[in-house]
Amino acid sequence: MDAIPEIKASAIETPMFFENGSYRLFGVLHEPAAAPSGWGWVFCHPFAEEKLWAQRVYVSFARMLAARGAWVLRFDAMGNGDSQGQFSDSSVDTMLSDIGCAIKMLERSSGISLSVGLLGLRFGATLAVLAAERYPTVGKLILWEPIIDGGKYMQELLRVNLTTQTAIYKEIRHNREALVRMMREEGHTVNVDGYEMTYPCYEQASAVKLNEGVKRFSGPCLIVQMGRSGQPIRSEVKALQETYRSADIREVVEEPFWKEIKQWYRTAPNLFEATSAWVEGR
Amino acid sequence: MIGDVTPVTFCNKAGARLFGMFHQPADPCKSGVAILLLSPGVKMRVAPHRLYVKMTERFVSLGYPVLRFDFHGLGDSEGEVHEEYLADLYGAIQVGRYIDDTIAAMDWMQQAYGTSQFIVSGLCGGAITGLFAGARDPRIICLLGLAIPVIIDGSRIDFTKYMTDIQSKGMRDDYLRKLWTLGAWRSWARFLTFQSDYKLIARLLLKPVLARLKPVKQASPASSPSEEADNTNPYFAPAFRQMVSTSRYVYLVFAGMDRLYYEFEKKFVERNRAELESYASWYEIHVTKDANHIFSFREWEEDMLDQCSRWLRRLSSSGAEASVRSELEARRCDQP
Repeated sequence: MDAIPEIKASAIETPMFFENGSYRLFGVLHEPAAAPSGWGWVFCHPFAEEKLWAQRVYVSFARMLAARGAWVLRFDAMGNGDSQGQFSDSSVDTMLSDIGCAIKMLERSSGISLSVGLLGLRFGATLAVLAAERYPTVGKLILWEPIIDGGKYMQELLRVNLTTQTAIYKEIRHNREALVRMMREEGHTVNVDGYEMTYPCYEQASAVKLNEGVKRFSGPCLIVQMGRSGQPIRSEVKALQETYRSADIREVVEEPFWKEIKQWYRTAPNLFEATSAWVEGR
Repeated sequence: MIGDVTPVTFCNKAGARLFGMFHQPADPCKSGVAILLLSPGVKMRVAPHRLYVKMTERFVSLGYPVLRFDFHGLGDSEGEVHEEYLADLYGAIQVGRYIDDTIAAMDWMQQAYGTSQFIVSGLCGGAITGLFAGARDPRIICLLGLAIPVIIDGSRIDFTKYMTDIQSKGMRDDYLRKLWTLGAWRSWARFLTFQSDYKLIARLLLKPVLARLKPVKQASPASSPSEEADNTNPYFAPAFRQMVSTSRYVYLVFAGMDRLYYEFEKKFVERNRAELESYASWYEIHVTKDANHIFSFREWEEDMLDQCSRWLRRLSSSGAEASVRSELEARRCDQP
């Protein structure tokens, strides 16, 4: 990774709060450091702790886009990062509302008429897909390793809780069925790496199946599958592509930097190259 | 959140802009002391599962202004860190990479708000950074450290060679349990497809046998040459000594199921027991039962937060902050 060129901070990066109804969201606005391209990007972060592992990659890519003339707004959804609220109050609905608010904030901050794209990683990409269906101003989509089957993803998160139980108590005291029942019937939260997830969040996320139906969004869309060299494109990724009128798939070799791995990911060179080539080509 | 929150930026010595959040209490405590929350590893100023946001809420409710910020090359801050492996980055933090950024934060706070006394706090890498900064800068009057590491990480360090007996036993028991557990099929799959760490497994299983065959060694006294063959951080004990011997308080909270606690006991307390006894009134330790390294379950987090708040309240009500301050001022006057 030492061969990666330095990605310098763009000329102006402004940390700020902006309001979404009763609470404040935190974001960092990157202003273009080159001739403005007329495009602005809202970055949708991944779920829970994946957000923190991927933070520096988001920062680096935002700086790269800004250096090429784009506006970028990175923001924390309600109950995440520096934004107000509790994680346990967040759900797919609140996250989509926050993305809508961030889009408006970016449009307002730039002071010009911008074309806005959404970029997301993992569940952030899932939210970007859903937001593009809801907000007609979204003009481009970049989906990095999207979670296509929300139900499967939620089961993986429940497994994180089981792993913690096993590590500490040497046994599973509450299995997945019990955890779901406790959320649904007793109003409990389920702890996933320290994040308290509630039933509305679990239920809404579980219902997501991105590879079904036809999407309303008709702009250009990039889907990036990350993994080891030579891996075929997964069938669910192809199925997601088919739900769009104009979607490209790229396969890039990267480690899963959204979780704890041996490498320190400050940038993701193959991912950045494939994505920026697509952005410039479009 | 009680009080005001402001996003702030300031520059470190190298000119990199560091990003942070400054929290001002609605009802500030009279001491004028502020708390710096120092980033743990790569998890930036919010820390795992937003632990620092929750800690900040508690500290602000006690009347302390709190600054939490990202070190250079991490989070939103400018600069780059070039390590290829996380273990090497952690190792760099454990030998003091971010002391200067911490001092820059205090300089900025002093200039912008007139604050001249600080309590430094943080988890893991944040705690060790706070300890080193405290050893260097007398504006730091207390350390409130969570899961402080006493070893040095690195991608080339074979940590399995330096495990404490408790760690080895815990891991050995885990492996033995998996032998007979149906639910451990993933572990078996890894084992049979050459993905397991066979060296580690062999070392763990053979250790009790080898221990019986080897003659018993005397425990090494502090700073003996044998420490060099260990992965103990050679800067830890001197920094700790510097803090407590200059009448500054240290409060350490460990997670009961965290290897860092066993390492602290084995590689620091055991080796320095006699000296530590002479400083007993200047440091305290609390262990949160069953907790993991990041205090992820709510009951562990609550226990840790309650203990920290209690300690801060005691510190403030006993006038200890003021006495540390006057002691430090007296020392400064004594210096030629």
